[in-house]
Amino acid sequence: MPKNIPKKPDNRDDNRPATPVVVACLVAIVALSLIDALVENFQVDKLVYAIIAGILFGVGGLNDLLGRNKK
Amino acid sequence: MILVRRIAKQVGDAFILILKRLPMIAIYTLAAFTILTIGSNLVSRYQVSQDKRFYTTTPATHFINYTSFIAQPGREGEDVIYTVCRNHDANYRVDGARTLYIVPEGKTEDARVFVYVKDIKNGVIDAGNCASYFIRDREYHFKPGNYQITLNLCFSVKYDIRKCVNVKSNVFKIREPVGGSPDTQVQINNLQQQLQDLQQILNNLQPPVTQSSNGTPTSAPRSQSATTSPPSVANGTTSPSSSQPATQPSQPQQSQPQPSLIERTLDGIFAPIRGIL
Repeated sequence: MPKNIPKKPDNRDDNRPATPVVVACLVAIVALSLIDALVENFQVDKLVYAIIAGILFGVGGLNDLLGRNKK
Repeated sequence: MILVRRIAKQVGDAFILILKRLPMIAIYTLAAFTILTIGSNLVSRYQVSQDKRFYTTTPATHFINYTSFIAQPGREGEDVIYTVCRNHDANYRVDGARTLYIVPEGKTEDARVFVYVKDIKNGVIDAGNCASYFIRDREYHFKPGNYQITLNLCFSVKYDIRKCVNVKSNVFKIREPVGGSPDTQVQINNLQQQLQDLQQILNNLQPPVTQSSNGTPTSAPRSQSATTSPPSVANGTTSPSSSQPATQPSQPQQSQPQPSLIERTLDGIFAPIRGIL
């Protein structure tokens, strides 16, 4: 087994931090959930949750936030 | 100023980041939407199944509860009025019917007699209120006796699940018709005749001949009572004794007491018995 496996090129080609986006997405999800639960006759569409979740996972900052992508 | 610039830079970086990673965001969005759709469908199906089970297993009295069902006693030939009171928490659509049965006293529910079935299209409304209905004589002719009414109401609740309520009324009595005839005019005539007979009896209970103050005999009670209107007597506002002159009791020795109608009737009844004895 070769010991030195070359690292795959990171598709995140810039060093912009994704943490603020992830935090904003989490705050948005929590806020929308609360509004959905507390306000009567108001229902947040699934698509909104799906888009926020897509940003949350797609931006790739979740691992950074959880500390699982340390270089 | 520096803070604003910093925030603007952060927002700009985030926007650029999102734009650059848009394909991944789209894939994750699609995946999240699919998962959410499937999950919500599963949850709603579970809720519907639980709801259906609730509506299926819950007894009908939970939806419409009859608090009272009272039938008023009446006479043969008259319409029977019954009043039902009910409580319910929703205005259920009733696409069924209200079926009415009569159970004569002493008979079982199997021997009930069908009276009518009426379609209900407006739904069961006015919760907590009472409604009166009647059974016409032509729908069911009650003969004298004791009866009980059985009401069967079918209605649809959520998911078009059918529910039927079966309630029983009190035992009510149907008496003989007044005068033996159900016709109202005949009943009135019979009552008037009975009233006249009673007036005649009352008149006969009084001394028929009185001596007036000038010495001429008069028959005042009979003539006075003949002009008395029947309703006033029936209402008890006119007392037969009040029409008598006040001087009559002071002169009983001047009039010959005659046997009253009751005494004569009793004599007529007991005469054959006395003859036998």
